[in-house]
Amino acid sequence: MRKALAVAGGALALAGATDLGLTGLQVDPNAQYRSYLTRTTTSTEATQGLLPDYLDFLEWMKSVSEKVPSKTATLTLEQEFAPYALQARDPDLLRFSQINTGYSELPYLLQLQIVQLAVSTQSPSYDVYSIDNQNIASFGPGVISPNDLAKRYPELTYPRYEVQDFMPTVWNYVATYPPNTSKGGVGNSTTGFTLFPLDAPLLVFFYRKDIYDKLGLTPPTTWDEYYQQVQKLPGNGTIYASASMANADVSIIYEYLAHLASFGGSLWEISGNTLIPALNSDKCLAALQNFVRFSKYADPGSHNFTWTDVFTSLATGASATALLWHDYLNWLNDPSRSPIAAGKFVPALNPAGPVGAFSTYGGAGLGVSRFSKRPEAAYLWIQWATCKGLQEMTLIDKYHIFPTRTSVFNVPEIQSRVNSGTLASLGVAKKAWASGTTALTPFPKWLQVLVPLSTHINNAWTGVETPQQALAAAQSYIESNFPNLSF
Amino acid sequence: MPKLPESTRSEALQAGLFILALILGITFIAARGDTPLDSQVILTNVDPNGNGKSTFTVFYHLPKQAEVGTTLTVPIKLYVANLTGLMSFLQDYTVTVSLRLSNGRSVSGQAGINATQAAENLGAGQLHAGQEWGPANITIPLTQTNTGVGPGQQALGNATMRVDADVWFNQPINFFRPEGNQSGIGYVLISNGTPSGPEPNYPGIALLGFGLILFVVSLVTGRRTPSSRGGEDDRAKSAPGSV
Repeated sequence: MRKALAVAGGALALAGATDLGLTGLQVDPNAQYRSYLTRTTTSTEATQGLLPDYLDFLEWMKSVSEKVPSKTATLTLEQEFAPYALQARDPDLLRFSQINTGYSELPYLLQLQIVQLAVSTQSPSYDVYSIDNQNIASFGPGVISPNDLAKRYPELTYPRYEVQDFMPTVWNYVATYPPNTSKGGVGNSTTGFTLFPLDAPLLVFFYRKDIYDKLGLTPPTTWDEYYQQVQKLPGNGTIYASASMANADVSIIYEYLAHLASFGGSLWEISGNTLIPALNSDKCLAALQNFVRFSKYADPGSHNFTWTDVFTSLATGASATALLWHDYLNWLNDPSRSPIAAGKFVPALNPAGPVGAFSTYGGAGLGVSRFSKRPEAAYLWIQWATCKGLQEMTLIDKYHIFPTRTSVFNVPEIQSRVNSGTLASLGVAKKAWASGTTALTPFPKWLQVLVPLSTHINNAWTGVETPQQALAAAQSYIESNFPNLSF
Repeated sequence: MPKLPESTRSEALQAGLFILALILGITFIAARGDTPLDSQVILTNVDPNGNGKSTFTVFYHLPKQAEVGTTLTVPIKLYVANLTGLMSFLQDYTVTVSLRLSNGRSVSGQAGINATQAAENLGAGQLHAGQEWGPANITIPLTQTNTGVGPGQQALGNATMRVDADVWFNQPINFFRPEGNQSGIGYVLISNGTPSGPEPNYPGIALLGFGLILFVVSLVTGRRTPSSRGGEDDRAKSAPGSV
């Protein structure tokens, strides 16, 4: 009896153990539906066409993304080509990190208002801001310094991020604050590291090659030569000779700056930490006279134009020439964006003044909001957006974004594409960077000072004031209302 | 208050720690609030007039099961992977998730941007190639009425995802054309009060437990039997130091 009991008990226990072993401690009551409920998940194996540096970053990001507590991030960016290029690569970020980003891309002035509101109200609505270089002093306090992020999240800091790799101008004018305004003085010290440099657009000269060929013209090398050309251009395929971004905001200052630098002038005399307006100088006057003489040949809407309007004037066949950000070549060549003039515009260096040809730099940087509730995801996103690997990809992708990192051009894959001519649109940007660049100087009162400055320059453009009156009025207003400008 | 015995206090402490860990774990998961978009579907539309082709990728997460009385939420993100030919941008767009239930009923939910919303902020919501919309949630309230799933019943829902859009065509068309396409994205089990998740393997545990009890009982009974016959010899044999 005892033996029978032991055998029966053993057999039952064995059967139970076998069942548990095969089925598990838990059973799915809906096992009959299992085959229906199987999911095909997104794969990170779709790595075809990704360059090694990019893949290295993605694999690293995949390995650390589990440490990110909240995997969403909201971004406020400008409606420009670098953000477009990032958005087009966003599926990579999602696949490798599961960080789910919400993009808000708005025109410059609207995006500026968003950042102003978010910083002034300390709102956590956006985790990442893009900030133009001239506004860095106004909004820098609203972002967490990259140095602090690296200290706070060492495990989320890409070990091969290499800040030394950024171009000196970009580093001095957008990554760090106060800017290094000593000409030629460069150095990638991380002191004052404020933003992650995103892009490097330059204001360059665009002309309608078909019209220039018809008239036997070549791209102008000096402002005077350009002035002779604009008198011949109207009515030869376009209504107007040129279009200018002469709206009374930062647009007109950007374009004026290209003239100003070519005459050797600057808006400010900088002494240590202090900025003194230098608008009443002969160089400022000569540059403004040079600039506004083109107004009578320009699209008459120019006094209200920003860069997007200049693009429209070119794209719709209204104007034959303009100074415009170099990356607009993407859209000027795109028949869906540039229905009339697609493929007809060619970029060239800006005409030169007495001291040479200069292009205005108008780039932006990225910062993690100090008020973000998800700084870890935002930090990871920004590193992705500015790492070398992604810059290689966005250079060869359709927008051909000019990298802010110098080493990108040393990558064999990039070199071979540059040499084969498939990235020819970058040629003028490379030449312009080599020729000479100028940039707006950021300081805390910039957005306030911009109002009288741009208004009077615009007055000179429209003829309401002579260039001399406009500069004198701007100088006087700034001196009396902003007496102690400093960094 | 009477002092509890040491063993009881220890067990109570362990149980308390377990519950605390459980609460913390649940809180942490709830605080994250992120659902991975772990699946994707690619939809293409070819313009019947030969003026272009659009390709959309929708990343999403489709839950495996849902209870009547709750809302089924499908988080999505829509990418415009490519627009070719004269196709310029999406003027408006809607993503719809529909469930065709095994009982013949259908339920659906949608999310999208209409043309007015897309045109706001100088067309910030209009999607060109390479742009995305989301994250967004598609919600489908599940009731006994709309699902037809009564108490204790289940139904298998065959889910499809559909993207409808009005695409702007460049000149010479200069007008928008509607397009749409859909694809199956999987199944969802709709339950009404029936167990929807894993439950303990009661038969296996019962078999093992009962078998073990029988086995132990047989051992215990086996020990008692010799002592009833006078077990002093056994004790003497096992006494330490005995020779």
